Amino acid sequence: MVERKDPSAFEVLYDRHGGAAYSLAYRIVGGPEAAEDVVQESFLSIWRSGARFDAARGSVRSWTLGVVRNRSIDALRRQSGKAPKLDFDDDATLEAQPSLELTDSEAIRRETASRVRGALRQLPEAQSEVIGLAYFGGFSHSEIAEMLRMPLGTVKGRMRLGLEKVRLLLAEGMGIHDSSEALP
Amino acid sequence: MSEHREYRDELAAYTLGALSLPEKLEVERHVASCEDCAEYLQWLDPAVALLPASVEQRTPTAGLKRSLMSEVNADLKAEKRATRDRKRAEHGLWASIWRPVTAGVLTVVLVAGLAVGYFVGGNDPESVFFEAESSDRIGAQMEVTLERQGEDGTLHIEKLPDLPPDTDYQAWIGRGSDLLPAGTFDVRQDGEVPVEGSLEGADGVYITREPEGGSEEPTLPVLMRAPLSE
Repeated sequence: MVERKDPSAFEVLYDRHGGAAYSLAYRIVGGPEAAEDVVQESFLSIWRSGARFDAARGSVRSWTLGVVRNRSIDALRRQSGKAPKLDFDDDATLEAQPSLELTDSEAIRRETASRVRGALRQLPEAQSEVIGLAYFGGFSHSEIAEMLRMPLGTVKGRMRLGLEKVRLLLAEGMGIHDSSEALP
Repeated sequence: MSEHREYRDELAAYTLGALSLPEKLEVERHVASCEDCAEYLQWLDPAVALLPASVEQRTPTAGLKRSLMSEVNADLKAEKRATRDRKRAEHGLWASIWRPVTAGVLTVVLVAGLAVGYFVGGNDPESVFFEAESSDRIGAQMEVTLERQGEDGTLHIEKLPDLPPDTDYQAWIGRGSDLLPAGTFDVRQDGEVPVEGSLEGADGVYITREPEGGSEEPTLPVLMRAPLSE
């Protein structure tokens, strides 16, 4: 739809994924203005390039958020000396939001967020730390190894163990019931 | 039990975007030929796909959507304006051709041009087309034809897969055992790319993925090869 340059389809894309995109960008770049810049830049790049979505690569949401994540990491790298926020503990802020102000889709987003955070919170700190540094901080495994002063193999091992655990917990708690539920 | 269990650490780092470009491409190459690792990667994907959902969910200002849609509408207007101007220009040209005096002058110019074209352009080399062959999974997604006109070449490309950040496609001219750089490109949509350099004495044109800006010699395996033989 976006490939055909249909502005209504583009608007639907933004309405469905703009909130999640903004939340992700905010988390990575750490502020509302920079996050809005990143989201605008990301969606415009999707619009202007007539970017082709390949269904084989996953959902439209994952694809859109992948674009936003890459742009956010780029923006973060441009902001010299600004460290990303790396904790997963956002529940207090969320609970402070008056629920009456939430639309249905926002409520679902926040419910999902809460479950995913629950799964992440069950990880040992060492595993969630390397996952957060890589995904939200945009650091490579070798940068993380240097930063945490640990062998590269340990960093990669922790990433794998953490992700496998999250995957199993999500399958258990979020209805991801398919043939690949168990570790292949 | 996977025989590639030791490779799983790499795959986890890959899904998190924590590998360097050469490591990332190496993983992609491995996964393309390893069913066990492809299956594991697919299994792991939902965990990473849900990481964005773990962050505090915020609502952007209404101004962001307004600003975005305003840019989108401005783009559309500009495109429409460009199309209209193009049509007007074409219409204006035809209108002027039908004016008798102009038509007379143009007829003379046209006849002269055709005569010159016959004598000068009559020796223009004909285009010869060569279908490119894919060398791996990524190349198999692309459809590339090399058009050779004398020493010049143009790649006609369809279905070019999007590139990861910080990478370009690069063309190479093959001469014997040497591959000479022939320009980088990132055709977002289907398009044509001129091959930079002479095809005189070349035995093929090759395409690889390279770090942004291109390389002096290929650092990664060849994706496509268009042999210059009929």
